[in-house]
Amino acid sequence: MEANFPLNAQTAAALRAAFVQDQKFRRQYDYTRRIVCLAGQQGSAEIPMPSEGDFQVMGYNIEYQVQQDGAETLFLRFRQQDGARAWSNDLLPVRSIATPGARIAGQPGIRYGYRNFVAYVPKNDLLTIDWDNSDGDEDLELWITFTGNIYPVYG
Amino acid sequence: MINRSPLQVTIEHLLGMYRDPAALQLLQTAASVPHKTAMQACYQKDYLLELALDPANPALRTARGTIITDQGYEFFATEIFTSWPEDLAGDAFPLISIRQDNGPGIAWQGTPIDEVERGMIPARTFGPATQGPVARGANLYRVYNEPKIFTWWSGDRSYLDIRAIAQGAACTLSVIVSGIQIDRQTLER
Repeated sequence: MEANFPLNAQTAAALRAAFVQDQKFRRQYDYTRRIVCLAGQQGSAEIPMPSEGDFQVMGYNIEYQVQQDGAETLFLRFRQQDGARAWSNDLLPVRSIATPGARIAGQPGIRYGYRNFVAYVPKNDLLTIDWDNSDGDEDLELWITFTGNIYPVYG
Repeated sequence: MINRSPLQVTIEHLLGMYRDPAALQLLQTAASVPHKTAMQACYQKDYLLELALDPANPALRTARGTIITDQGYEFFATEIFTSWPEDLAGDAFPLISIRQDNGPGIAWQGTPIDEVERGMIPARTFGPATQGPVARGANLYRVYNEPKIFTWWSGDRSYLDIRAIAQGAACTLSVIVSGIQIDRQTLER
């Protein structure tokens, strides 16, 4: 479609105007929250999502630090209040979504990782993070950063 | 066009890769509606299956499970990734195959486990290590978090039959199938 677009002074001006409009329409946005998953327990954390406007999540990063040796057995599930929409039906192993790839077995250290994930979160929605650390030996402090676009005009 | 959401761009990209007329029509609808509607109606969903494997235990040498996608939503798989937390030495990665039990009835790849191991895919195929030292034979914590892009239209309430074969060491294999879930009612409202 772009290849057939006649680019001249008029269309270039229109594109510039549309670009400016687009910047009002959509802004990139990072949103970070911290939760603590207690050893031997399971629970939920409720996170108020951005109030600036509708938020289209494009991915998230999870970072946490392991102090002790051993396998990590933390599981997470994200659920939105809007329509009770869950990002998964099951709790997912965090090792699958937040690891720096291969590493030495069970050693302490920082785990982190980003994955692309598309979700629409209405303005002022509440995100519930269910966690299960019932097989874990230590408390894990998770920093979760959601990245995406904010649409203020929708709000 | 400039104000298309990234999701619409993704859908339009997928349009060029998929041929089923019904799916194509729905995807075209998704790509043409206002992007707020597209955002509301098309979102990502993860499905997990965990399989316990142990080559030393005849009952666990092979494992099989089913992912059932949600009813009332079209599911368009876009990526698969696997991980296993235990130490697996060398090439002790499991083999897997994924088939769809309903719908087109075509295997995603591989052959049924009944046909021995022919056609099974190494699970590591679905997620190469992204960083860190991976040495053959080394005792590493093998976790793969880079999803393999794998597009497959599986439709409404589909059954994904996943089978695995243990190789060399016991482990729990996690298989996550992720994709775009399409709420047809919202989309066509």
